Amino acid sequence: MPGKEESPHTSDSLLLQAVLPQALQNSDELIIFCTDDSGKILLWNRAAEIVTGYSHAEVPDLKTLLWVAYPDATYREIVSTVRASFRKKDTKSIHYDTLLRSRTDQIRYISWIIERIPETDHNQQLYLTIGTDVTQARQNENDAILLNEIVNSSRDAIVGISPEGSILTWNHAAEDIFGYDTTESIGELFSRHIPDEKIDFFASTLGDVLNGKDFRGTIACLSKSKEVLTVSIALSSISGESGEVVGISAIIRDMTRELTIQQAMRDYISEATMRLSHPAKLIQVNIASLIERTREEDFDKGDILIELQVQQKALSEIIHNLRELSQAMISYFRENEREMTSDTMQ
Amino acid sequence: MINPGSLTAEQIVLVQSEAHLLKNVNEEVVQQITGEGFHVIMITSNQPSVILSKMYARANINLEKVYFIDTISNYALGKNEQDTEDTDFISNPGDLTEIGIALTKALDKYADKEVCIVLDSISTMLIYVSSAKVSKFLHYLTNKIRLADHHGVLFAAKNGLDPGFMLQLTTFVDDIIED
Repeated sequence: MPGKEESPHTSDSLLLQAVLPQALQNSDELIIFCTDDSGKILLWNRAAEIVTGYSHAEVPDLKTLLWVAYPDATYREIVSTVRASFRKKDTKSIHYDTLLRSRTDQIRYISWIIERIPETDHNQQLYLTIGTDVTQARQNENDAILLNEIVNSSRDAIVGISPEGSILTWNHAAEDIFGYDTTESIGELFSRHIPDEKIDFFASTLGDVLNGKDFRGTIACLSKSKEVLTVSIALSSISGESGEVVGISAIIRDMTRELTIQQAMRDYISEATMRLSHPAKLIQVNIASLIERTREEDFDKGDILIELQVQQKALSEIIHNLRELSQAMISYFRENEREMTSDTMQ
Repeated sequence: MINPGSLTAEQIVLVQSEAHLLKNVNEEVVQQITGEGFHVIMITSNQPSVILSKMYARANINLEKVYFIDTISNYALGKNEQDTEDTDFISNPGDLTEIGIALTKALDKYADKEVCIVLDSISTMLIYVSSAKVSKFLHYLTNKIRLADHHGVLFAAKNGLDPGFMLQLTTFVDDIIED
């Protein structure tokens, strides 16, 4: 029972102080505050002061707290709803998460549990609010989601490989490049993508990477359909918390199309050189030689005419080759452009 | 100037010369080979047989020892020359099958003779046929020469062939002479 000079609030405060262990009242981490029906804050522990930056005197009631500590109306509404639900006495405890703005304008994620305390022999209903600062955990969670998004939206395959060589992670691009989906890949040896004749080289490369020697190069890989792909691959070790190597990251880009285009370009240049450039020079010297011969006194007009016709025919053939080769090359690049555009749109 | 005897010291030889000298090299080679007693089967896409015959006659080459597979005359001059005793006229330098048939016919004619097949030239053939087809044809031709135990001389303009194509070619021939 409260004493003569004690107001009901004072007696509740004393009660709470008696009920809550000193350790919780002085806790630096677990935020604890208690309100009554009127919204007056009866208890405001040390962690509440540290996290919000406000002393008990500065936040004497819930209205002030809501005003200073909640960054937007959404959370004020949530808290009001919670209290209303308690008033109807249909809930004993409620769990919810909010953002909290500190005095220094830092935004923290807090996970709250509000307990109604009906055990008091007082008419006054009390609400004990316990908050845990989950900012770091939430940031880690958000970082993990963001990282996952980055990995999965990458057009390069990003694969985690265990020190023993089995696949730990497998992103969407890896599915596209190799044809195996994630469930078919996790736990399998990455070496199944390496042609037999390169297995020893790859194993020794993984060994080097585990010993801290990163690898970057171009290798042949096998897809699910046994198609040989030329890929550029960057392998580097992944360290655990204590610094030991816990795996290998592989960033893989399918270079097959690029190399095919490069090869087509080389073939075109080679063919154009042999069938256009050099023959044109050949005709040039032949015509020069014919001109020279017409300066001789005893040149045979008929022979010169025949040889000129041959050179003319060769020249028209070169023009035909030029048209044909250019057309083939243009068609080839248009086709590739279409395929690339369609890939991008997918 | 090609060293005497160097053309037939090996079974198949590639002769590379400057483009403006190809005609002279042709004359020199045929003179040397016929001089060594060989019969020459000249596959030409560079010069019509009528021009080559006159050139050989002027150089006192025994024309009885030369058989022409002329791939250019009918095509370039728009003629329809009929085959003769010593010349097969091919309708198109790109018709490698027809050339092959003519070659078989010529080899039958010289069945008991020492024969040297001369191709004038790879560079000119490339005007009319893709490099892939020329490469296949050269493979066929050199195989045929080896199987029949004959000799062969292939002409090409210097620096006129792609390094990759040249690499292939080196596997077909025994020696390369640069004039």
